[in-house]
Amino acid sequence: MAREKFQTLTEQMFYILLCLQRECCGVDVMDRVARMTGGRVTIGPGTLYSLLDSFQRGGFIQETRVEGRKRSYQITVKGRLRLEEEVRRLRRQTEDYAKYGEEVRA
Amino acid sequence: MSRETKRQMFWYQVDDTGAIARHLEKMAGKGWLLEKVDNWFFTFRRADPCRVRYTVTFFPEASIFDPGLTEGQETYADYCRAAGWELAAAYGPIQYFRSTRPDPTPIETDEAVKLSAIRRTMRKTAVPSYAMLLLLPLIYLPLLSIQLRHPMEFFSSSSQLAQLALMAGIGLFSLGNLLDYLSWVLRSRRNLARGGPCVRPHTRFRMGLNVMMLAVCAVALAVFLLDPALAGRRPALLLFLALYGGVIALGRWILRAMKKRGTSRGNAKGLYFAFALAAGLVVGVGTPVLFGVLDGAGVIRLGREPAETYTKTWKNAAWTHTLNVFYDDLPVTLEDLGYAVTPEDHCTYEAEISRSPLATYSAYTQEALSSDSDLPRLVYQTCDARWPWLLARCWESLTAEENETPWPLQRMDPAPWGAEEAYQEVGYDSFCLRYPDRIVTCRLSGGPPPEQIEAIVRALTEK
Repeated sequence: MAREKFQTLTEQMFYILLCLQRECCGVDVMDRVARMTGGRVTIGPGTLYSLLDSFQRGGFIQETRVEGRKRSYQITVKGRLRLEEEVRRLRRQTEDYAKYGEEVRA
Repeated sequence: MSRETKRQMFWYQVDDTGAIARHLEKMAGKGWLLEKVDNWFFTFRRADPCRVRYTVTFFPEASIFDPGLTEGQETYADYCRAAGWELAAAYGPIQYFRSTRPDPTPIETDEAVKLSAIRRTMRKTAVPSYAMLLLLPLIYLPLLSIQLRHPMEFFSSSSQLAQLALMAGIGLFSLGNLLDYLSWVLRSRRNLARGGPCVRPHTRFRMGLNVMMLAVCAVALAVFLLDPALAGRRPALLLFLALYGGVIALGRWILRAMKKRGTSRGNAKGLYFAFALAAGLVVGVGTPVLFGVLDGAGVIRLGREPAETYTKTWKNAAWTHTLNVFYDDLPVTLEDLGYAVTPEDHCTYEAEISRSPLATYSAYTQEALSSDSDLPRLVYQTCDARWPWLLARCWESLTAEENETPWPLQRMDPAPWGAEEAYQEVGYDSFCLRYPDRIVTCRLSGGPPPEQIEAIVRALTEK
């Protein structure tokens, strides 16, 4: 079910996984994503909590540290593969755009 | 001194998050900040009027049986705090956040994730509640089919009609809410697939359902309490309602006490359901049994107060029985029919009139209680309906119903009775008579001669 759920990553899912290539606690993910995207992508705290929970249950990220209520996470091999697959998909899309978009422009 | 806290009924359906948030923001503008919430009430605390943003979110893993916020909820609240949202209140899986920032990052920025959380919460809370509520009218249907076999009694009984209205109201309320929720899910999913957000629920429709349900409950309660046919049972009914209210209050208190003591979710759930089951049995089964026993012992009286009692001793028998004697006004009596009634006959004259906006059903009996009396038993009923079709329906049912008995009805000449149609129970002096705007049934042992028929007709067809 988790595989089906994450077959295509939304922008917010993509940036959470991207951000968690380095160990990071939940609260910091919000700031880091906002910085990475220049404020273009913001992740609400509720959405962040739900997505971290789903990613963890799906085996895409793992909890690395717990300090009181502060929990840190990092991407797993499965998560990295999924992220790379998504990058390939996006790259194919941009390549297709470059190829066919030029045809249309011509 | 002005009040520091204020309570308000919780009128909303929990998934109507936008409407709840707007209401809370309006209250904050008036100087009332949300402090506490449960499934019945909002509690506000007085504050300076301010502009705050509220957001209602769902945490499906939480339960009303949790002693406090779960670890996950605490983490969720930490994330929200970092984004400028303060947890104002929570009740089970529903959380109320507020922010004083002018433009805080929304708590939910992925509508699909939001829809999933709402659906998971609703599947655990509101949907089973509405489904359970919908069972009530379904359970009532067999009873209704039995009641409809006696339409004269049914349509003339305000309390039975109120019961029907109550069950119809409950059915409409629960089905309306369920269907509206399902339609909201479908519309939201469609909108999400088009890249849009979850759609707004039909707040007015749901409010309308709430108002309708409350109005139906109030009317039904008033009818139950004011119906003259239930006058004798009014104290028992009041006691029953008080007990029921007490059980609800006690249930809420138990839940609060368990939270305070930090009882685990599993134990709290088990204890609460055990209490609900026990209370249901005590109130639903125990109370009627207790009333029956007390009535039998003469401690309370569920029926009408008799004018006097008569202790009947059977011939050659060593036992006696105390019977109630009434002196109600009857349209026609054995005396009117020429019988010599003496005080030694110990006659009881009983009239039971049941009246509703749709029909009036009156049942009369005159009977000698003395074993030594030779007087016949006079029993008759009249039924008037508001509309001719309803009277026709009652007549059809009466004649069809009686035909199913071992003593079937036989059509007879209605002329001596001055009726439009007449039936007689085969082998019995029992008659069913249909007049243009009234149904009369009459039984007089011995069979009435023409002059008695004339007296009965004169008395029973007069309005």
